[in-house]
Amino acid sequence: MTNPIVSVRGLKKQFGRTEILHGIDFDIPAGRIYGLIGHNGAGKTTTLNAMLGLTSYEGSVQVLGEDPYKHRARLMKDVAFISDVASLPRFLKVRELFQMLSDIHPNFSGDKALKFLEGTEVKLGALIGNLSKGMLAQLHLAVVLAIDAKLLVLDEPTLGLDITYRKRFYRRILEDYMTAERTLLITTHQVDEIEFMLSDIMFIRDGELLLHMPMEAVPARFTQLIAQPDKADAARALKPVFAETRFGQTVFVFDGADHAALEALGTVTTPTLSDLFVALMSRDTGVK
Amino acid sequence: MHTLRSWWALFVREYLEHRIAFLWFPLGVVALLALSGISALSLRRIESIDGFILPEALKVFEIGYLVLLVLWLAYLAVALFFYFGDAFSADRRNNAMFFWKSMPVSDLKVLASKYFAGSFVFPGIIFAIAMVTGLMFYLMVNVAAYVVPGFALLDPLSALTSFVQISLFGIVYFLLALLWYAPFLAWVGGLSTIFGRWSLPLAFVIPGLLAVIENISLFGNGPRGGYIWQYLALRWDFAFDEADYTLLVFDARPFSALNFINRLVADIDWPQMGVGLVFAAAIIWLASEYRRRRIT
Repeated sequence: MTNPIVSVRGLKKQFGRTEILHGIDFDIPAGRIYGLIGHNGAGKTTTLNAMLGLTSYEGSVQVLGEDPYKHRARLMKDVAFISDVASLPRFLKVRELFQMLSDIHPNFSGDKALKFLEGTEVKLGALIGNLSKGMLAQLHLAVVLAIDAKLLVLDEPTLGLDITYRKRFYRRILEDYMTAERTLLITTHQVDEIEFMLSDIMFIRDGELLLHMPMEAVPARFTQLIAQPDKADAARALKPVFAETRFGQTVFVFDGADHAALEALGTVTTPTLSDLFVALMSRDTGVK
Repeated sequence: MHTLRSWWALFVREYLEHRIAFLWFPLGVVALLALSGISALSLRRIESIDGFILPEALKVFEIGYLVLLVLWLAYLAVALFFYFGDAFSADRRNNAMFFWKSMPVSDLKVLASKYFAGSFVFPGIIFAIAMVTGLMFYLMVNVAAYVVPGFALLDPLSALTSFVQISLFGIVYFLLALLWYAPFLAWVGGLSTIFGRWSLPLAFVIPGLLAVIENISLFGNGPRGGYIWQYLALRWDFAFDEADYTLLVFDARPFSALNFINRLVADIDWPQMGVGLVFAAAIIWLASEYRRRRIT
């Protein structure tokens, strides 16, 4: 087995007296597309910041074999990230930005960046400070996609963008960037929009990793049941992890339940990522 | 090779971000000087200097060029004070920290590039512009020779020699002055990393408060103004005393760069220069460590 791209052991982070991360462990192998999903304040961004060397931490974090906090600058040759699309230097023109990146970043290709900008409204002579938020996102995406990185980290990259931009954004990443040698880690609140591209999911709640599994293993483990009205109590007896009433129907989510037993109680499906998110992350599980 | 390109890119970035203060505005001043020179000559206002006893044309040119260099140095000092009070926190203020942190450059390298840009690149630009104004003044003195009776035409060879000599001295003076005041500029930049533009008043308020606390603690038993005040006063003075500046202006002989550079080098407190540079390096490193821990 090859070494993981990211290896995290006992990751803890405190802000003042408050512990935000409580000792997280996970590995991310190469060539996967990971979704790190959690509520606001769950610890997603802090986890990413620790991985990117942007914050100090307790525990061990290795990214491409390096300690990111000690060697952030060296690591950034092989890691690209977007944490805020509005962070591009506003005083530069697009052309100046590409020239500067060509000089600063050994793995940046100006030609590739130009190619990624084709079909957008972003002009080379435009001042970055004058671009709209959507154009900024397109430009920032073109910049990171033009970096020949082993790991791409996107922290809420489409926040505040309309649906058209968001769809185009993810499609370009999938079509133009992802190869077997590249790894993508993404966090977003719009989980439905990235579900189609994820190979693995990690759910984080209150600074602890609640779930970490490949997407293909989800149907075998989690089942959603829309129970027949007279079978709700029987379903409840099978210990669902979550239950709620939708338009008069009771919907259950089970972890590791017997499919055959559930099929006798109603309509059985695989929960979508957002269903699973709601089921596992809700403090009120609704099962009592 | 890539390291050099990376440094170059960081200097270019500083230039692009601050070109208004260090190129466009000075060029505007040059244009104004040129306009006022042309208008003075074309409207023959220069004839009003008839009543003055003028030294020979070469001395007029030398004194004029020296005065221009002093004025440009004064402009540079003010511009650099504001540059260091702003540039070290500009990425935070412009919400660009995440972008720069995603680049393969350390925080120390980013801040060092800002420091070197402020200490060498921008002064270099200003000095080049100062030289242009020197050449403009040479033209003015020559034209004035046609207008003012008894004012001899400037010998081109002597003028060129003086221009080179004064420029050479100016470069050394600019460079040594920047090295002498490096700890102050680094101090302003270091404070700016933490306090942003508040570093501008804090650069004076903090040492002032320390001096007051020292005086209160020592009940006035220390030297006049206290040890801190005495030391800062020592650090504030750079090399030349009044006699040197008088000689610089009123020496009847053609300007000799070597003579004045020798005097300058002899007058500088070199151990203090060394202490100041170590202090500046320490401040830049501490500022980079602070920046390393900040993402917003």
